[in-house]
Amino acid sequence: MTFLCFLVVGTLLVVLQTTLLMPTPVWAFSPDFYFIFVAYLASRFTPVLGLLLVYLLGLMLDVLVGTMLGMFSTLCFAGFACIRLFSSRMVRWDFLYSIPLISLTFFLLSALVYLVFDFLYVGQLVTWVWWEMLIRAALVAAFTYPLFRLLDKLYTYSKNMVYPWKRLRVRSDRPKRRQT
Amino acid sequence: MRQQLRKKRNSKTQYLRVLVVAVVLLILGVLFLVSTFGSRQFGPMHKIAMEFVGPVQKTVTATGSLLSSFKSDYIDSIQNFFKLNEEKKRLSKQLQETEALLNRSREAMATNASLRKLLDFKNAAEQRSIAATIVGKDPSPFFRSVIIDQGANSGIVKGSPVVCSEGVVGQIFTTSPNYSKVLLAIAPSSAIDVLLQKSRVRGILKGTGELTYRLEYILKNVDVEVGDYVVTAGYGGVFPTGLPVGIVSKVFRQPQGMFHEIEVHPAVDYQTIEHLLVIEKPNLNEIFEQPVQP
Repeated sequence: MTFLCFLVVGTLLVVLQTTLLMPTPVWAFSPDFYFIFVAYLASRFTPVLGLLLVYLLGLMLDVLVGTMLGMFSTLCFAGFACIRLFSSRMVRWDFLYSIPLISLTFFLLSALVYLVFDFLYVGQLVTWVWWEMLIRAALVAAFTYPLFRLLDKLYTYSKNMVYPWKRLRVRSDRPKRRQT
Repeated sequence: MRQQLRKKRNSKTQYLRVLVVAVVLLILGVLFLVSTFGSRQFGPMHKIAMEFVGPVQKTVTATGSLLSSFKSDYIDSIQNFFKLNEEKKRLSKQLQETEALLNRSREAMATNASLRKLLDFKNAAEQRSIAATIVGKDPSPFFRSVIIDQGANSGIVKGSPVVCSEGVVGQIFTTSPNYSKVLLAIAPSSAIDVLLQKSRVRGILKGTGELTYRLEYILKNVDVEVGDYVVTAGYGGVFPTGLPVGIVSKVFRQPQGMFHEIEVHPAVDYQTIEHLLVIEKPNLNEIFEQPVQP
């Protein structure tokens, strides 16, 4: 159920990212919520579930709004792998280190993905603008803490949720069979 | 003995689990690679996903525009109340100018009609167009494309030209049954055949990624000035002839090279664009199958 909850949230974030957060096609100041979501999945979910969600999110972004298939998938997948690797080596998850880490990962991976795609499809990408990308990385840093808190609440809620089918299950009064 | 057996069974289960996880990861990886680098074609899976999320996107955009129209209708109107008198004067002056322009246009149209008649010019069949609304935008800073709420079911095909009341906007590059993606003319991968309206010289208009175009292949001996109108040439059959594209905003005259370096300001305001028209591409088979009149 947690998986489904986060799939719905991911879809809503993609919709939000492509509609209200992008008022014009040349808007540079939109916070990349999808990357913060990927970072959350990398830090809180198991590798299999996290990867599945990241895969679906990347595919959704590519299919719905991507101009070149594969760009968002690559960014999300690489972001997940990097943050998972770093967070597994941390003694404990602390926002003091994790916020700059997520922001820096976003910036470096964006640069790397840009380089690769610019090499593959020469002259088809908009010129790299340093200040624009720095602002986007700063926006990622600014929105990481509130979005993580929000997603944490959702995570706890979905874990502790009592589902109707569980509530209706009748418990047998018979004592459990002793294990031999 | 039993404990040993259980331990063995547990280790087997654990081994199986790892194997299952590895297989799932491998399948995911293959799927990922196929969807990512396999091809740039839009497959059925992509279309299904687009159809699934498209309505949500449409609803969110509609709500956003409703809120912004509410703000502009009520809140902004209160703020602008004091500027009304000034605005009235400006508008009445503009109206007079427009009326004068309209008279001149009527005259030009009349002259044009008589000339066409004189030359026995065949009127080009009016091309059908489909009205569409922008429902989403590419959040990546490296591309310039938008999604519209009309697709293959309305007759839109890949390559259909997209315009708005001000002029050329771009071209369709992917369609699903009810949604399409539009590559804007300001995208670096976009190239349109255009004419300088005054001199009738042909050039190629390319996007820069910003809110300007670059006009290429205009020879240095051609007289180009700031303020010249740029329109579609109509070669290649993608865009109809004479659609406004922009106005020349800068001409860089450099001693080296054969061509001018020209910057064009778009006729379309990409910051406020919302509603578009997709011009249906003429079916070439239909055209060729028409009987030739003697």
